[in-house]
Amino acid sequence: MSDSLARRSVIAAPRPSPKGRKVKDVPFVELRGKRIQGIISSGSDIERVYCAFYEAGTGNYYCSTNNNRRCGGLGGGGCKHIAEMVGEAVKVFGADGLAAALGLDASVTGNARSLMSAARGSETKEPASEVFARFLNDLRYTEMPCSNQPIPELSWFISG
Amino acid sequence: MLPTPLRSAPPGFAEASAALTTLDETLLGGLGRLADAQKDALRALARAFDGSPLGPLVTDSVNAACSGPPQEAAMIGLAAAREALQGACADALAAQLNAVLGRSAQDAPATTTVDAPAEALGLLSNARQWLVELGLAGLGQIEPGAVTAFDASLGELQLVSPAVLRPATLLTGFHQELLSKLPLAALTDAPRARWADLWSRSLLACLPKQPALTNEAIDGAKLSPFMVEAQHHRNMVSAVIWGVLEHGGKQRVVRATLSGWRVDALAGEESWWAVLRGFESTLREIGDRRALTVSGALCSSGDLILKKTTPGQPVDVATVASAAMALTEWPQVAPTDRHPVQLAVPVFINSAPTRDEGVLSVPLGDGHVPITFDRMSPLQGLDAVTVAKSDRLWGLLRFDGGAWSFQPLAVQAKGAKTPSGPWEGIAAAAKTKSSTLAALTERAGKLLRKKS
Repeated sequence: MSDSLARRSVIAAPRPSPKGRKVKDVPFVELRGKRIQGIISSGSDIERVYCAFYEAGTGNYYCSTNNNRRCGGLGGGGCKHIAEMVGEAVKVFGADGLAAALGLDASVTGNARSLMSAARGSETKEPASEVFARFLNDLRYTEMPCSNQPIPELSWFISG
Repeated sequence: MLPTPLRSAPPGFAEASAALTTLDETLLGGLGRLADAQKDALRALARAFDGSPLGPLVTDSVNAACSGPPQEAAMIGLAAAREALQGACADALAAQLNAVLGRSAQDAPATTTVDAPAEALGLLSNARQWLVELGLAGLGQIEPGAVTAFDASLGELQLVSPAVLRPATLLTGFHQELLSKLPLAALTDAPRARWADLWSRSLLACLPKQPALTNEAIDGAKLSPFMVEAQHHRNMVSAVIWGVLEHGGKQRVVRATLSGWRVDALAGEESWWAVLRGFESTLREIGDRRALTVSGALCSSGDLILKKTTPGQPVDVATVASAAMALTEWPQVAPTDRHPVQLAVPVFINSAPTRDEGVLSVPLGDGHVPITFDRMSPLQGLDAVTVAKSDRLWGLLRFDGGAWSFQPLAVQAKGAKTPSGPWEGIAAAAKTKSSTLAALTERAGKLLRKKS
């Protein structure tokens, strides 16, 4: 059929499954706006997590505990938590997917070091609550009830 | 070449597609500021609905949209017009397919209307308001802030009642997709037909009254599943199970859906734990390719609601699928869900795929239908190589982007004793508890109750 009809596709491209995710270390990572943000488990305290973000464009970043205590390891190149978070983001979205979402070239989105040297931003303090709330919101999905009802709306998603 | 009945678009299809494109363009740029040419196009659309039951609603809605920023009622009217056009396309396409398969049309599934639970009404209204704002801004120029503004309300809608699971599932997928795609570099980067679909369906799915399928209770019926389709977005996973139901001395093809919310970190085969979490034994038995004795309800659409299952004997999915092809009662799309994307007609091809005009295809009727990998879920347990080397295929006939295709759900390789499909992944996942889910449940236990 004609091109104009082909452009009427309503199906999104399948998303490949991430391989080798380290969920215990980085239980949550997402793209939101031009940001990679996530939650990184503390290596020493099981009750503590770090909330971090990196923003493309400005290059700004931050990392703190969920109680807003600044990460002691933060420096000009971020910290090990940000490096771990970006590493997991690469597994989930792929360097190409990150590049598309962040408006950057795929040659820099493969790891935290090249990403953060692409745009020199600065440490920008932000409350951890927003990322932490996103994580808690995600965790709720482990406890929400299952369903035996038809959900025809999922036909639009198929493999997202 | 396609089978003869599918070679040309059905009568009226091109006109309906053109009308849909008009609506999509309007939605892309925003209903808040229509250019004169767009107003003229909308008025022409309204005239096309003259004499139909939707006519007065569409005329009023178009008039409202042309004389200033439209309110919620007018947007609902435009969404209804859009869905009616998709419904008409779906009917015409389904008739073509029936001609290929030599099946006669069945009666439309019976429905009733139900009220959304009182505690959900405010949240559904919030959702409609959010969609109205997206519609005014234009789907091609949504600000990320306008999407995140809906976070809290969406979170509540997901929890408020199982009765609103459908709108909650749809809105979650749409919201997530917008967040991952925004900001767009250019207006034209928006997948316009897709987002217009998701927007229209969302708006109508959030109305306070909803159609519901009638159903009858069944007890001790035998279900022989022959294939499973994995459907999912980032936060919801469904196993859509196709099988033959023996009930009251009759056999018919049914479809059962088992679903669960997925925490984002669940990936690959482990994603099945989103569903296993609630239906461990049932899904495991389906993964083991066993028949089930089932109790629950059979909807007028042929959807089976599984309430209680006990395992039966292993089934040969090729024999069952082959027998299913001769049955006359099949699952159907509910009247208010009619849309080409809902056309999913099971077929079993007991021969190898062939190259037809260079494209890997399956034989059907007097022609061939190309195999699509556009909908291939990583949970389906298939890849292009396995499909190409097979000599029997289970799958669904689909229509998207103006073209028919065959979506493989399982295949059997030449000389293989058992078929390849999602069964192995389900069975493998069900063997051990999910370590990801365990780690996250531990995190949830430590952090969720403390903070919320």
